[in-house]
Amino acid sequence: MKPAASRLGSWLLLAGIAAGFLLACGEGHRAAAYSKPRAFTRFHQRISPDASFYPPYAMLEALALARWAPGKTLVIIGGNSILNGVAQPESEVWSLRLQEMLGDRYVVVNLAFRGSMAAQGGALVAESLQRRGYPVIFVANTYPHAGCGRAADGPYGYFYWQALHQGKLSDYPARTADLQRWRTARPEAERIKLAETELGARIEAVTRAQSLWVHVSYRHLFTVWNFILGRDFWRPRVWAPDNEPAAPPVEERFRHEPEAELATVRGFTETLYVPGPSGSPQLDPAWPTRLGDEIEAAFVPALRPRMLMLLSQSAPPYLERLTPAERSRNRAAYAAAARIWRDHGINTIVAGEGFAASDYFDRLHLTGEGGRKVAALVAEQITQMNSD
Amino acid sequence: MPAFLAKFRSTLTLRLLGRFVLGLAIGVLFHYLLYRFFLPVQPFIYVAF
Amino acid sequence: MIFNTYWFIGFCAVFFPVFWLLRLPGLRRTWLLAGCAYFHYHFAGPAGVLPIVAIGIATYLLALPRIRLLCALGVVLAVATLCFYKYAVFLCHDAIGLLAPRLAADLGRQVQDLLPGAPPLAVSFFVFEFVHYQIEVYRGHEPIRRPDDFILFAIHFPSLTAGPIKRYGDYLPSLRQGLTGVSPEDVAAGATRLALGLVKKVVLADNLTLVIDFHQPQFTSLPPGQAWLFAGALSARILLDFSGYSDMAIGLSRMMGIRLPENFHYPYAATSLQDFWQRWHISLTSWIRDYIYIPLGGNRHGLARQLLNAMIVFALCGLWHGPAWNFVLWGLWHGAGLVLNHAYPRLLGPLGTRLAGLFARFPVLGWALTLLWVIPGWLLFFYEPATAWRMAVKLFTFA
Repeated sequence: MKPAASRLGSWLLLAGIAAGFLLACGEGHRAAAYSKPRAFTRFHQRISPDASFYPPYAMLEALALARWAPGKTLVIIGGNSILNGVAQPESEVWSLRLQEMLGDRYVVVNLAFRGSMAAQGGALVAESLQRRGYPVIFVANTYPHAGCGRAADGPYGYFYWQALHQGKLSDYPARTADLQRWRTARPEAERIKLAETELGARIEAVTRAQSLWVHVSYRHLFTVWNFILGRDFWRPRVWAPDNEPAAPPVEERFRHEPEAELATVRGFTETLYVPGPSGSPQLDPAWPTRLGDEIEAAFVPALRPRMLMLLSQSAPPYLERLTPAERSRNRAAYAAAARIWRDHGINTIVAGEGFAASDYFDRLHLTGEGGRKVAALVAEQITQMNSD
Repeated sequence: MPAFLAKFRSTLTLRLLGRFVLGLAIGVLFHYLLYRFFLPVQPFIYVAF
Repeated sequence: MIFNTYWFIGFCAVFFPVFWLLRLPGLRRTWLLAGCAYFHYHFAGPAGVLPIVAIGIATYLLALPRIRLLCALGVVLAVATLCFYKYAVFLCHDAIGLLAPRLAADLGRQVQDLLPGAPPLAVSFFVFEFVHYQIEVYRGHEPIRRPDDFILFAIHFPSLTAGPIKRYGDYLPSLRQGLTGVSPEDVAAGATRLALGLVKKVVLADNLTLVIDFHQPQFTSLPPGQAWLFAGALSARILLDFSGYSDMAIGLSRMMGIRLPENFHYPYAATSLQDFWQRWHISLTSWIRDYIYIPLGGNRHGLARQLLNAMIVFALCGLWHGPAWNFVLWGLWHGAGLVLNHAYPRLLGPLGTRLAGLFARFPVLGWALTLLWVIPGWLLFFYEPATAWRMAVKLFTFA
């Protein structure tokens, strides 16, 4: 090319870069409004971060609003793998049962993720939609010792930063101050990682790159290798159905590292006890304040009366192996935790008390039958909350 | 316009168009890379040296 | 990390438009200086910046008077810095430890107390550039007079962390050109090169890393074909990762109108090991040739000395990559390959001559043999010697 033509060619290339980028941003904003998995029941393993599929925050909101219509109450489910329905085949997922039990006046949306905390993901969607005037009920789960976590922590922390920088969340100084304190106390490497996640969320608010390319990954072509998909990693995830297997017969369950699992069950409540004045264990007197502060910082006051927290109880085969004293401390810790949650204005029930071994797939996860029982408990509570 | 000049012009136009299309592709690629940076990022091997 | 971070995107989004908009070379220079310093400080932190600043000031001041003794002192200082930060623990534990374990343990503890958690970012690259500078001044070339020129040469951000290793004689004229005016051709070519580098790294190398990390623990149970595929993936990954980084550095620099040396030229198309090293990490290889191999005597003192020099040079080249025996062995593996490559026509007599003719007539044979040498070599680069040995045995016995 002659110099003038070469210069023009360079300008055209640069103009093309700008145009291509801007077009992609525009398409990203469009995708953010509509992109969501088809016939959605839950974020099963192959459309979850386990398989390199990271749904953007916008997708959670799009899913929540997909089936909603005026006059209906949105029931948004957050929490961890228990409420995600791990160990329940797609047709047996507990949230489907909940939808059936609640009927047409409710829209149940399962936004729970494996390893997620109660304050993350679905909680933010519930807050955002409630703030915009939608009738919302938020259901999540936790354990007595685990609290509710922090919205910005862990692999699902990006939901918080994206929701925040997309202007979805209320200005809630208690949460902001808590996150600031927590962030400052992190080791430097983690602080850098957090800053990257937050900056990424700021960039996402402008470019919607995650929205567009997760959509492309779902509908057209996946571009990141993942061992769960192996050779099929490139196939669009719309192709990957929910393949959660059914539970094996009850006599084949609860065999995986039984001693380690029993120690974990103990840890759920025993860690809450400290030696009392007489030397016998008593519930840590600092715990209610600690947990209370966590709850206050995690959930905006307006959402709390519209929340239902499930304290997930462990499977009977493990509880039965605790000593009578441990069992009694376990029950007391669950009851005390429920009281603390209720003291902060949140409806709370213990999920799993009185369940049979056959309702559990493993130490924590419920089978379809166990899920049905939880759905019944939750449906009853929700109906009551909505009539109050 | 002589035929060779017309051919030269059309080749040039095609080349220029090609540059613009290449630019478009690079722009879209940069957008895609923003998404990839979000996924767990691998460090460069040689940065360790 | 470094280039593939949101921080760097934000940095570029501010840095480049301002750089292009500033028309006065002085202002551009100041902006570039500020950008480089900020980049270095962000990624290296105070603990990583201070030693580099100290050794940088010493290098600059020692070269200024053009006194050969001071230049030599500068070289010693730079090399000592590298040895201290990068090799002190290795020398104590893995070298002295072989002869006097108790002394090594005591020394190791004392050294560990003095050292920071990690060596200063890119200390190997800094030291190689400083040594090059001192030797060139020692050889009679003009030193850098302006301190800001020297700082820019030292911490030019695109090449700061992983090269290419620059030569100040090439860099400074190019810097002046970039500061005087950046053409749209430069920006377009730089952006295209940057895109190419990002594709190599983020799209290709990172996917290969995921595959490699998953299959590595099961390597011994892989069928032979897949084991070779694994070794191929390992080889492709390091090329794509490192040449991707170099492309990004060259592209980012070009976007400022500044040219950096090329670092790769289709190394896996090489038809001999010597050819490979003229195509792989070119800026390092040429540095080693100019500042170690030739001063050691190069090929000027007979075949035996040339071969010995090659072994020394490649052992050092391996060690430069990290303070561990696997890197030394990787270097020696390549040194041995080059020795064979050079010596076989003479060692094998008429058969050697016939073989050399065959390779000349069918370059594909040389290409295949080169790959068969280079690919197992990467096992030594990435794994402990014992693991690498087991993996290599599996590859070649088709077990």
